[in-house]
Amino acid sequence: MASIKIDIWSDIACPWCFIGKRRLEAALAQTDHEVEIEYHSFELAPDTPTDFEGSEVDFLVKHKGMPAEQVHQMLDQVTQIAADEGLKYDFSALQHTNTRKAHEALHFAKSHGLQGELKERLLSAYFEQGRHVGRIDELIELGTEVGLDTGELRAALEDGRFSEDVTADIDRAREMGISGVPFFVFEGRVGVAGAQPPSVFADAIARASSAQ
Amino acid sequence: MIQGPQVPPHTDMEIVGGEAPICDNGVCQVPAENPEGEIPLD
Repeated sequence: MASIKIDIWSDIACPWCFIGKRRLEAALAQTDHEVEIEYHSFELAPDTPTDFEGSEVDFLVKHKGMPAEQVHQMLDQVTQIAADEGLKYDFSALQHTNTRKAHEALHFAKSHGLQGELKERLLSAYFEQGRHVGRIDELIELGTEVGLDTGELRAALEDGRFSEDVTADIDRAREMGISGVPFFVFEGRVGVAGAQPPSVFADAIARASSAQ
Repeated sequence: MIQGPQVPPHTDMEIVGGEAPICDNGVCQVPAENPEGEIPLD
């Protein structure tokens, strides 16, 4: 059975991307198909500063003008949906940041065959553990945990050698008309938008497979 | 509200699935039962 290529555009600061990842994994657990997954960069809020002083609620209230009560309600809802997928979102600990360097780290990891491992580590670090994924030192700690070389990763992040790859991914998304994430492309011809249920991913796999 | 499938990336791509939560242009949507509808998350 031929392997199925799955290209995924997503951001770290994207609660539905982590939830969608789990739902895709649930679908993959029910299939015999071999898959090759490649993550692509997408920045939801590229103007976000690396350091933001305040909580998630502070950010949404002060920068988005949302009523605090509404923010709490919304975050509780997303947290519950994440919990249904086995994820322990902690918005009280979440540290808002710019994700550009995190995307550079993911490209570095891809070049070393560890992109999937780092993607999982960064999403968990951001949503579940209150880690700061915008700072180079923190990214190096997380990258080292998944087996990346500390010195090489630091050099890559400090000189920005993967920045053009991040931009290329974003440009590619724009060319394809992708405006939201997560967005999944199976074998380059079957698309899935959003954190769909596992049954939709299974359908996409079947359609992509039948067209091979 | 829930965003449905986005505009097909290109004309020869088949889009499967119905409405699903998604983050779009710095705005993350929550499920339809939220009466406030569109909510920015980032």
